[in-house]
Amino acid sequence: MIDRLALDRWMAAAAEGDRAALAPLFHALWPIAVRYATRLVGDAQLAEDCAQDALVQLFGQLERYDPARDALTWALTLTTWQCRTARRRRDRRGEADELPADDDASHAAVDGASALERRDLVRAALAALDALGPRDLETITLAVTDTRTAATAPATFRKRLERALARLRTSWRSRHGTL
Amino acid sequence: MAHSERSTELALRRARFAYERAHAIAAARGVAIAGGLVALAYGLHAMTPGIWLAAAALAVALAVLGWRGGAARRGALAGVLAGLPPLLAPSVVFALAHGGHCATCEHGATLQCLITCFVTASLVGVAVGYRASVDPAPRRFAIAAITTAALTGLLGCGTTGLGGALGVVVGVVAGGVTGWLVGGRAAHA
Repeated sequence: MIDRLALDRWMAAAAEGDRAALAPLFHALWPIAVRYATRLVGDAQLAEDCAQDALVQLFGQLERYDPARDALTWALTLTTWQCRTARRRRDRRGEADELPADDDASHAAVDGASALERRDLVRAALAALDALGPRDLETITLAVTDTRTAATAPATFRKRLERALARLRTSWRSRHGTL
Repeated sequence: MAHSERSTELALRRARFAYERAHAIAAARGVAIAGGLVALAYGLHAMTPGIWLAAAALAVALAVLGWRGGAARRGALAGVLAGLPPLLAPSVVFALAHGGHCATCEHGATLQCLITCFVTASLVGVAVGYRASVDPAPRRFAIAAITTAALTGLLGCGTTGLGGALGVVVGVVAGGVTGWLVGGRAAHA
């Protein structure tokens, strides 16, 4: 269970220069960022690298933290960007042969053909996500991870999500044809 | 130590380093700002040993407050901005009153210079105090702002002698307290 109020409090304290808040903030964010990155990139090692880069970036920019905004959302948005960058780099190097797997059990459950199909689907989805702006990406991230905050009214969030998904559909169609 | 613990430790170390690096850069920025202000003061007035001391104190204060971050950094920057009028005003007033350069203030500080220091310092002090009262961490903001405002002002008003130096310090503190009280009362109304 994520204690979002504690997260916000620690981040605000760290942004105010309180060094004692750094460790608890990091230990609260780290497992979440790693889990989230693993879902995005599949490879556990690469996911740890992405999470690490994201948190390094976040800690380096803590002075810009706006207490009115949600700390976790910011962390996950940075993680998403790092995952996209890492994925692009990996694709460029032609090292994208590993399967995006959740765990060993799921590996065993899928046969080679469906695994390939799944990998292609993930790649296609990430390519479509590449075209979205940070706001859309953040909205979709919040919806997927079910971490929407009370700060945004449900109706507003729904509208924002609708618009983000519409843009995602357009991006998908322009790359891969019909949905 | 397990691999995951090692990587967590490594990530924490890197994150801490990034945090401290950002703060060290802010401290360096503070020193650079102090350097700019000293250059400005050097161009405007004659520098006495006392002013050099104030300049050194300003550089240290901006570095420390910049490194500390948060309200201390915000306050330090606000203080520098607030300290600019007392830094510049004596030169302008002296030039207008005597048609001369304030390099001579040191030897012939005029009443106008002293009054200008006190009045401008009081006015910016009120602004600083008011702004501090609405900051999330008002006390730290106020202390940082008043410190840097007084030191910045001293770079200009210190050249007018003890009267000018006292004028800017008393003005900033008195104005700051007044602004704080006004801001606090407005917030509670």
